[in-house]
Amino acid sequence: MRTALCELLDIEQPIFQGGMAWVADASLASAVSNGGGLGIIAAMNANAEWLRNEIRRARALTQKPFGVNIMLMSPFADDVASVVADERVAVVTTGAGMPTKYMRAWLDAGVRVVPVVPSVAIARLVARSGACAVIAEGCESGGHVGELTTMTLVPQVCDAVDIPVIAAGGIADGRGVAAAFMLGAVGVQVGTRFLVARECTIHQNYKDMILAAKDIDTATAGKRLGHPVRAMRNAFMREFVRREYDASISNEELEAYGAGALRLAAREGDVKNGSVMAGQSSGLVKKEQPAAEIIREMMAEAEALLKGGGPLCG
Amino acid sequence: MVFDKVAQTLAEFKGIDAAGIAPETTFAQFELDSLDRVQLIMNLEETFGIQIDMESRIECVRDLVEIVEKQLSGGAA
Repeated sequence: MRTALCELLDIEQPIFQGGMAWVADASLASAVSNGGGLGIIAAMNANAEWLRNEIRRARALTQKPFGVNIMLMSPFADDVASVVADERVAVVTTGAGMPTKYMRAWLDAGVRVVPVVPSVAIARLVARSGACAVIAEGCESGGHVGELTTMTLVPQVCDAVDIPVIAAGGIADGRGVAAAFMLGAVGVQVGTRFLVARECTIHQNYKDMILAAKDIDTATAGKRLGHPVRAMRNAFMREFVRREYDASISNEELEAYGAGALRLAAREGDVKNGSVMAGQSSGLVKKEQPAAEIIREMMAEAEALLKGGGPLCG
Repeated sequence: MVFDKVAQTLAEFKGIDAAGIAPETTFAQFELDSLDRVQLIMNLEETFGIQIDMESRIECVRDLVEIVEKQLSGGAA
């Protein structure tokens, strides 16, 4: 299925892979790009050298365009933003903040800027600052989340900006893709389903937890800190929530408790004491597959659904 | 007067009394998260028909008033 997003970014299928910290490395990003989507390397809290190495590793693994996600709260945000411009990465996506201070440098380097937006106002602002598209991400997604759902955010962002809108949050199969297109999106960003892509290098325990998940198995925590996160409801999450509601625990202590928890789960496989970030769509994810197969399956299902919509109208 | 309109916009946004807002009232006192901050800037842009640079240093209401006045007089924010 080709949409305006495919033309804009020279990709075969209008599907982005989410820039998930400790997950989205060159291995996963290149597999998604080779499968026709846009693979994305997460710069997370890593330094410039790490990112430069991952970009070069991805270039050795794919000839197709790929992107980098900059987490704007990173202590290395300035450095990794410069790497993106120096390396002339095809696309940069941004999250957890306003990317406006970096946009001039990226645009001058020919980098396409696609910020993740949690509200209409932020979508408008980045559109006028030179973003070529936006990712409207609802709170069904894993990791850092906003307040609005995909169902409500996507159409409002579509109404507010005249650049392509990519829907994210809760999309893990062709039904989600088709629904996103009906809301006005011309692309989707998928995170949770790619957690179990064969080329995803996270620990098998993490993948197994996603594969076993039911609909109610994720929750959000951390609102008190100003940046709530969605993750699986495990022992770590329950303890985090307990501390969040304990007034005797300072925000700094709470931040410290959460530090390193995602790495512990994703790389060490401690899915009890680590943070297993994942979206509400975990319950839809049933098997480990190559990234290219995930893309093919999702897009074929979406196309069939969209073609078959006629009978609903009598 | 620019200050009065800025204070009114802030008051409406936060659901507080504009009389309690002074030029030296800091932004921190409004307890705005990042979404609120952008929404407020957009509301001010609509109120005054201007564009405000999001990278502007805004620590108190006076900073905001100066940015708006500069924009209204044709200078860059």
